[in-house]
Amino acid sequence: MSISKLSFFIYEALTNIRRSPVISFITISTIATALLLTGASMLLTMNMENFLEHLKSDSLITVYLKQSAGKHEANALSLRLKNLEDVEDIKVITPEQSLAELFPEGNEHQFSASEISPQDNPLPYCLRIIISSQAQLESILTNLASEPLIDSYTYGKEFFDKIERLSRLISFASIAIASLLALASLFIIYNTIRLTLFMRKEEILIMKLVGATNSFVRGPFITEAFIEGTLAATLAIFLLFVLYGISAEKIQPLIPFFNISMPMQVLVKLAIKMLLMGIMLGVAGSMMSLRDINKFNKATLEGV
Amino acid sequence: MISLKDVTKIFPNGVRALNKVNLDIKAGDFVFLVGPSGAGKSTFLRMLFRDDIPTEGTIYIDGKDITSMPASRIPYLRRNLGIVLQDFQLLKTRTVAENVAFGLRVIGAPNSAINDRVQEALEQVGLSHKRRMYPTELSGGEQQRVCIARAIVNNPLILITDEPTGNLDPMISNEIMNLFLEINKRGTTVIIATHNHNLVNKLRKRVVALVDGKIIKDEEAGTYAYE
Ligand SMILES: Nc1ncnc2c1ncn2[C@@H]1O[C@H](COP(=O)(O)OP(=O)(O)OP(=O)(O)O)[C@@H](O)[C@H]1O
Ligand SMILES: [Mg+2]
Repeated sequence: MSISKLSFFIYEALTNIRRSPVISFITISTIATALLLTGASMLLTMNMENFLEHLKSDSLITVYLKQSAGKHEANALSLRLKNLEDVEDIKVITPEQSLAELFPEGNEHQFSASEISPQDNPLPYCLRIIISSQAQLESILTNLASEPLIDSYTYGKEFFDKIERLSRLISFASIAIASLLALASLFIIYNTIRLTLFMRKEEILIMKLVGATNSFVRGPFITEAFIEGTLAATLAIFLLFVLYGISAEKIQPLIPFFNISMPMQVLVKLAIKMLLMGIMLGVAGSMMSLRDINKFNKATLEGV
Repeated sequence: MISLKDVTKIFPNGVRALNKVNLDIKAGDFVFLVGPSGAGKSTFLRMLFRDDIPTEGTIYIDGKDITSMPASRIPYLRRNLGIVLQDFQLLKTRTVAENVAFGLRVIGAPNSAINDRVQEALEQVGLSHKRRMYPTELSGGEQQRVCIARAIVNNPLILITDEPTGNLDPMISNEIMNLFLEINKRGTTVIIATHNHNLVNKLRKRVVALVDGKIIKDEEAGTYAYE
């Protein structure tokens, strides 16, 4: 594309935006709203995922040793397992501690009804393993399975699975919402541009009369949509980050154990995604409405 | 240059605006198209720049069949044509100079060339002093002349004009006709649909008369008559 053509497109596009500010405003605010909501749902999803990940990684694996294992074996095993990747801490729970946990003070009548005595404690030694992330869970479990001293273990599989399902549901819902919004804004852009086409039919007719190609006629419209998409995305990104900052500040005290802040890198990526999406929405919407520009001739225009 | 073979145009509402029209126009011809209102003059001209296609028949321009030409080629056909329509087609939001420049801009001409050519065309129609005005600030005749300037700005092979003197006083009409003659002398084929018998009778050029979509008369050095 030549410079003179491009500068003509840009000049025309800016002139049109200036000349029909209401329509431009509608287009820009539609795209911006869609992007803002999409961006917000993406941020929310990312935070939810982090949060759930955080919950998961804080969880425990409880290991029950065989009855034959004594204090020494339990301690030795605990030292060995501590070397595994992602194992943050291991606590050795003696049978006495287990018993105390099972029947806290004030539950003496239950205790006596259970026919268990401290002298004849049937509970084994236990290890509580705190893991720092889910990544190595599988390999930790395989290691546990190969230990002859270990009788059984539980790791809250159901809880993990539930969280997994929840986070999948949230991502799915946010993708669905984002697609719906994109579709809705595409529809609105399509219609606003049809409206502009209608208002500027004389101009299009004249352009075609003097020998403009279809791509040349489309040029200013697509440039205009490109500019509007960029403006809308900029606006949406700005609003999103401001709103995110404010709400993070409000919500953070409620969940002190979890850090809401997102790494800069992630935010920049999100901003770029939103920018591309804004441009894409504008350009796709305008291309759709400019598809049948071939039908523009004097007779049909006079009929409109 | 232009050749019509059995061209018939029937509009969807059943009106037969052109009925088996056969006509040849040589390069450099100067043709008046006359006939009563509703005879099919405008329809005839619209077929020439592929604003519409005939129901039957074929039209050749410069050897090419423009009736079967793909839509993507139409812009290149029109770049060889200068078109002035019956109703003014000026953009009210642009100055006179910008309106004229439009014809060059859309074909991607460089800015420097545009300015010179626009100035030249406006001088030819005698409006270079009003180049910065808007169409609404001009009289009907002046607007008509801006349209003519836009049509001639890219030195077309063929100038197609529909009632170019419809709103002009006799003196300006004369001037415009002289301009057309001058353009014609430089080699442009000129086709003018008109009701202006004074000019037709004075100039004694080729006259083609249409009545009810049929050519009933075609004579060199003719006069304004279709009875
Ligand atoms: N788009 C259209 N649809 C249907 N009928 C049309 C259309 N355009 C023109 N006609 C009809 O075709 C016939 C020829 O019209 P045309 O405009 O070619 O006449 P004309 O010779 O240019 O008349 P005038 O001297 O008044 O300009 C008329 O009966 C008109 O009503
Ligand atoms: Mg007419």
